[in-house]
Amino acid sequence: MPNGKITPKAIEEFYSQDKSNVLFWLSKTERYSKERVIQNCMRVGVSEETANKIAREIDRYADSRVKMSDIRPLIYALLQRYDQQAARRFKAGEIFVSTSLETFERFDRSRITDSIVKETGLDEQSADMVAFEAEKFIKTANLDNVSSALIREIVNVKLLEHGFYKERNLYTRIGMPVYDLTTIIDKGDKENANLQYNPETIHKIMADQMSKEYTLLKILPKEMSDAHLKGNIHIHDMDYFFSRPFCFSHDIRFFIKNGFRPDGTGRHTSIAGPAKSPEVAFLHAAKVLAASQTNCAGGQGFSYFNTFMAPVVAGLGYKQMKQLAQMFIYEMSQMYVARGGQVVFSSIDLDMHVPDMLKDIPVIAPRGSNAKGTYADYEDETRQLFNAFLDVYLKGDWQGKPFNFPKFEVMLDPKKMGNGYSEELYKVSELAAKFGTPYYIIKQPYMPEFSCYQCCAYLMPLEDATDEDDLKNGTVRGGSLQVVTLNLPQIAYESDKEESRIYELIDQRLQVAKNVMILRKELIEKNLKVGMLPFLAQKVNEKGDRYFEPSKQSYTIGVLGFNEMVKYHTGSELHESQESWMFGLRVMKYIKEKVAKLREETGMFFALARTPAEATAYRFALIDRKRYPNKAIYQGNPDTNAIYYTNSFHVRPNADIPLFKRMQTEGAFHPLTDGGAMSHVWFSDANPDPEAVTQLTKQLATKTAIQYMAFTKDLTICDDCGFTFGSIGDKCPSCQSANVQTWSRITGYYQNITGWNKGKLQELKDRRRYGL
Amino acid sequence: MIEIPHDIPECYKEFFEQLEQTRDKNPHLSKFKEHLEWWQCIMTGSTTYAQCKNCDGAPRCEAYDMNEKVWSEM
Repeated sequence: MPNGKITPKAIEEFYSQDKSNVLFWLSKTERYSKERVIQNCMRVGVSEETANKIAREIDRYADSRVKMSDIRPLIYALLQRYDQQAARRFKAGEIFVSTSLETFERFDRSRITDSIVKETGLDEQSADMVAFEAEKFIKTANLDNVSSALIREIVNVKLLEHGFYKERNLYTRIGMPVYDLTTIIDKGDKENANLQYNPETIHKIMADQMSKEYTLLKILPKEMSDAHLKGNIHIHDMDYFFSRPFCFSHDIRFFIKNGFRPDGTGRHTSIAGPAKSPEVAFLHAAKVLAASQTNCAGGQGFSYFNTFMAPVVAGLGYKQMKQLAQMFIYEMSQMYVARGGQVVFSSIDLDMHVPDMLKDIPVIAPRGSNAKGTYADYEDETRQLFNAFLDVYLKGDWQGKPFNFPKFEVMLDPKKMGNGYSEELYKVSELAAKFGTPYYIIKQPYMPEFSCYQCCAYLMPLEDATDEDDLKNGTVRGGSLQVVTLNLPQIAYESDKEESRIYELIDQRLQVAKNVMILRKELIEKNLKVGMLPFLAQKVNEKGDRYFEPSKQSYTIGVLGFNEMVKYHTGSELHESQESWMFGLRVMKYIKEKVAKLREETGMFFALARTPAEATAYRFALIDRKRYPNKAIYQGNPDTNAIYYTNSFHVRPNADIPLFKRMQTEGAFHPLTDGGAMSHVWFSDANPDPEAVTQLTKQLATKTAIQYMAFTKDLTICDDCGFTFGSIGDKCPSCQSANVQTWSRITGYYQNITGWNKGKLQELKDRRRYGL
Repeated sequence: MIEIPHDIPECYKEFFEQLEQTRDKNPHLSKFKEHLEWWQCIMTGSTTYAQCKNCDGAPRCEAYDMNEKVWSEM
């Protein structure tokens, strides 16, 4: 059709080719309109002016009695007159797509078909049908620009229209609404208070969002994702579910002996040999935790840290030891590099004296050191180093602010508390009174001999994961690979006061949790094999054992909302009646036995623990409030949605009962966990008396069953003058500045309260504080 | 407010029995009877530390002796 001449032959030829074009068939039913002509012309790239010119010309011959298909040859001919390329595009019915590679490509339906088949496994015929419908929609939509993301959305709608739900989940894109991302870029996110508003954080939040969606859509079978979304259970750390395990406790001796490869291989980093000097050994220790954090989602810590470091500091004076402790603490509270620009979530277990089981173990000393013998020979150094760390913690940072990381865990043996270690205990009390820093691990008679706490209070029953060789070779290690929490109040609502039904539902939830754990173990095992977790996969001995072995990790079942569960079931709260308390203990014992059965059944170290539940207590309460509006019992203020469930088996935070009664009531649950338990004492005094703290510590350690506890003091820190005072205030009492921040212990660690969720902030208000 | 029952809850008796059965693996653990006494001591205060000496000089009793001293100092 040269020069736009319209001949019968040209029309016939045009139609013969046009019949392969979906627009042709659509235009068979569409009546002529001038506006559609303009749209058609502009879609193939001519200017508005030219499109109008063509439309005016056609309008002289056509009216609404004719169909659009009848005038397509006319449009084509006129386009040829003004823009030959546009005419070619019109004839081909082409659409150009902007792709994820930032290029423009010609629309090709077969590519949609191919991608559906490849990504979802749908058969080719169904895929082609979906692709055809998507093409039809795109072409009739008269869109100026079509992106591959938009095509995918359209295809997803078509998949759903045909009932291909599973395929839609596999085909969909993962990300977040533009509005949400803009908000995060502009204001940051409040989900994790350890995260500062900075570019790293923004990237982390984006990545976390994608990971969570990916896990829900692709990794978790429907049974598991539904259980999570309905709030039957909470699968923790969904953002790292497919990639890395939770928390890990390390043995510094492995690195003293073997040196340090931050990436586990030395291919991407330099390789350090075994430390020769104490400074290097302490620096390696700090970097080990940072390196491991890149492979783990949760806390990183050292067990028996000062005992194992005692031979390293042998021969040094107290001042030098303190300098090393200071360097380590500053490293851990300043390396602002972990998981999207935050410090490493770290902890150190410190001993006042060498633990009995380590006394006969030969020491592992730095290269070239004269240190030899067993740890029993380093009792003085262990004690001095303990004091050195304490002194650093007591002083705080340059401004006098407390160090919130590394968390300081102190092992208390009730048998030895008053026996030659009163000076140390007093100093620990001083620290608790000043900053609330210490966490107390109390060696109760029912406790495993060989254990440590990490992260947010998960006990590592190291005896399961560690054998005699590990003890001697410096490879004592362990951690929790995954945590799943049961929503106990929801179970109570669903069982409608029938106790046997409660147990049935617990069994049901535990079954799902077991499957989650098995899946998680397989994922981490696979990641270790393919090299995704190089630090954890490094070999520790000639047998080829890896530093991290999924078969040796704990699989933690958490519990939440005992108080609300017993309240719904019995009519009174945990602390209000014997009946409710006994019922709570019965349920706890039942879960403990079931968890033990899971251990037998799977060979995996399932463990029952309480959950820190910073987000879970809020999430479960919100879900249940909607799902069970006439049954749900929760704490907080429903008018502002600031609601929450009481943590684990705790007494309601604002229950007005004597402290000792609170601790006794909660403490009875501690032995029935497999270790992960924690009770809190919230101080009301701005400056508690350390002597009173000491006496309280002794009382709680010897007169309750509590195995792990902390004294929490709210702190307000002045950003202008650095003054720290022990209460929640909006003005600095020293310089009168209003530029202050408030810190408190969220559950398992101290942090600025600005990042706390509504439920947790309400709990902070509700806490019954005690004066000494 | 709750009054802790004087009788040890059944579930706790079972728990201490189960602990007893693991003593071959964990010899540091107290014996069943010691655990019962410990429970009564800490939960009800009905047993004095002196009475705990009935458990025949087991390690836990040393603790009780020490505790008694601690409490007397408080």
